[in-house]
Amino acid sequence: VQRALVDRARAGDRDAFALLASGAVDRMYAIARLILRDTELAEDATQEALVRAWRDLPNLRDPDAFDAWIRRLLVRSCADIGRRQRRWRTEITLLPAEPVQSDGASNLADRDQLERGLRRLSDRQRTMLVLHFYVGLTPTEAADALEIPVGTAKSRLHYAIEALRAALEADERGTVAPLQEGRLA
Amino acid sequence: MITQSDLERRLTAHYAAEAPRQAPDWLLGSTLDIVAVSHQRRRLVARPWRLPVPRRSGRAGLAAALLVAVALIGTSLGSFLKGPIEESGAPPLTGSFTSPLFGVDMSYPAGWVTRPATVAWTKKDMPTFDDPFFDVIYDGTRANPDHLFIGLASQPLGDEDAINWTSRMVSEPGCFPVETTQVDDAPGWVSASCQIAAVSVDGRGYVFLGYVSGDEPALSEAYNLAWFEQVLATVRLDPEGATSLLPPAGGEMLTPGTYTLGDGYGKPVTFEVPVGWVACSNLPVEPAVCMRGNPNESGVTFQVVVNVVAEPCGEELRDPPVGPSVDDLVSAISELRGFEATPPVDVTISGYRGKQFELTAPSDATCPLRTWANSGRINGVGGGEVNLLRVIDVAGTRLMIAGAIHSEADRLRVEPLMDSIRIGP
Repeated sequence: VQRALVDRARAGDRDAFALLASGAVDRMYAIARLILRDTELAEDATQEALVRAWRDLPNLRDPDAFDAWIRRLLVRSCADIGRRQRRWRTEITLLPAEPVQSDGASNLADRDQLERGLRRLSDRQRTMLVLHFYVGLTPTEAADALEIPVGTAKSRLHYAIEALRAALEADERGTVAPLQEGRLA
Repeated sequence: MITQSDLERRLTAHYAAEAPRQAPDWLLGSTLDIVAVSHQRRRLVARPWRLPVPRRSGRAGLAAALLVAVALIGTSLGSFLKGPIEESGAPPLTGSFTSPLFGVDMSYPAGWVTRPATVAWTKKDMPTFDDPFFDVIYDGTRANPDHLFIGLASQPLGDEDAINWTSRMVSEPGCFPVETTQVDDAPGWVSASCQIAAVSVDGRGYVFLGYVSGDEPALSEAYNLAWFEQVLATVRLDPEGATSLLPPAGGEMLTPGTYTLGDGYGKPVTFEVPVGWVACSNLPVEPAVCMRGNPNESGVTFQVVVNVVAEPCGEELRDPPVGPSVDDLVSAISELRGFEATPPVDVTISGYRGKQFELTAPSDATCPLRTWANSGRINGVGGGEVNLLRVIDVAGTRLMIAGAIHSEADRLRVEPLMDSIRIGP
C-alpha cells in the first residue's frame, strides 16, 4: 500500500502524500523532539522535512526506500535547525515540562540525571543515540540516515555512549567535566 | 560504575518514556497547507509549469487564490499574524528610503542608517548583511550593526513561478511554519520565526528581512514580529522602477525597463531598454543590447578596451599597447587606417568625464576589418558601419560605450538608449 501511495505522490498526487505524511508525522516529530530537545524546533524540523519530501519526491528512485529517505531528510533538517539555532540564539530552549507516561524502569531522578547527561552531548552524538536506541537502527542503517560512512557511525555511537557514561558518572560524583567529542583510532 | 548494558537499558527506557506519542494536531495540517501550494522539483523537465503572474491589478486575485487554497484544506492557520500589533518600543518609522535598484519605497526607524545595494541581485540565495546586492538599513549606533537591521532586495522571477520563488525564499532552515501574507497587496509568505517576507508582483520577487540577532536577546522584545509588520505596512512596491541585470544573449525580447551591467565597469552602469531589444552578447566582458530583427545587429555594447589593432586588416594589436587614458584610446581609434573619425568632444555621464566621437569604417574594404580589443575578443566591424563612441573614465576604469549603426533610422533608436545611460552611485 505504501509503495502505491509513494508512486502516486511522486506523480504529484497531494492526497496520497497527505496519507503518507499523516502516517509518518508522529514518529518524525518524536525523533526530532528527542534529537533537538525542544518542542518548537522539533515542529519546525518535522514540517521542513515533510515539505522537502513533497518537493523532492519525484527524484526518489526507489519507492520502497521511502521510510529511510524521509528519515534522512528529517535528520538533515534537525542538523540544519541545530546549526541555525546555535548561530541565532545564545541559549537552547530547554524542554518544557510535559506529562510523560509512568515508566517502572526509570524514576524521576533517573530521568533528570539522564536528561542532564544528554544535554551535555553534541547534536551529532544525540542524533546517533536517538537513531540507535529509540528508532532501533543498526549502525549501518544509522550511517545511511546520517549520510556518513559505516565506520564513522560505529565510532560515533561508541563515543556517544562513552560520553554519556562519563557525564552520568561525573553527575553522580557531583562534578561536571567538559565533554568534547574525541577522535577514535 | 555504570555498565554499558545498564546504561543502554536506561537510555532505551528513557527515550520510550520521553518521546511524544503524537505530533501537535496543527502540525500536519499546516504542513499540508504549504504542500497544497508548493510544486514538486522534477528533473528532466525542460520548462517548469508556470502560474500566471498577474498584473498589479490582479494581485489580490492570487492572494485570494492562496488563501482559498489554504482554507479548502480545512485547517486553521497559525495564529502568529492574527494578534494585535503592540507598541514595540522601537524608534518611530519616520525615515524614508527609496531603493535605487529594487523598486521599493518604505519607511524605517528614525536615526537608522541606509546602505543601498550597488549591484543587481542575481543569486538564488537569500542575501545577507554584507552582500552588495542587499539594501540594508541598520542602527548605526550599535557596536555590531549586523545584529539589527532591515534588508530588502528584488529580482525578476525569470522562469520560476511566483509561488515557488516566494516559498523558496522563506524556506530557510528554522523558518517554518510560514504564513500567507501581502505586502502592498502583493501576495506571498512570511516566516514569523525568521522575520522574512517574500512576495511577488508583475514578474518580480521581493524579499524583506527584519533581522534581530539571537546574540542580543533583549532586542527581540522591541523588534518583534509586530514591529516587522509595521515596517512592511509602509512598503510601496514599484516593479517598473526596479533594475534588472542584463542577461547574456538568449534570443528572447527584453522586458522594457531599467537594466544594469554586472561588475567590472568601475561603478554600476544602468540604462533604459525600450520595446524591441534583445541581449546579444555572451561575453561577460562585453555585454550588449541589439535591435531585434536588425540584419546588421545594430546596437550598443559596453566594454573596457585594452588595446587597438595595429592594422585593421589584421589581428595584431599595437605594441606597445595603447596608453591608459581616455585620450590615448580616442587617439588610437581615430588613427585606424582607412577609418574616418569625427573630432572628439567632451561628454559627461553622471559626473564622469570622457570623450565622444563617431568612427566610420571604410565601405570599400577588401578584408575583414578589426578595430579594438577587450580582454575577451578583438572587435570587428562591417563595411560602412558607423560607431557612436563614448569613452568614459569611471573612477579609473576606462569604459567604452559603442553604438553601432547602419542607417539614420538606427541612429534614432540607438542614441536615446545611449543617452539613458547612468553611472553610479
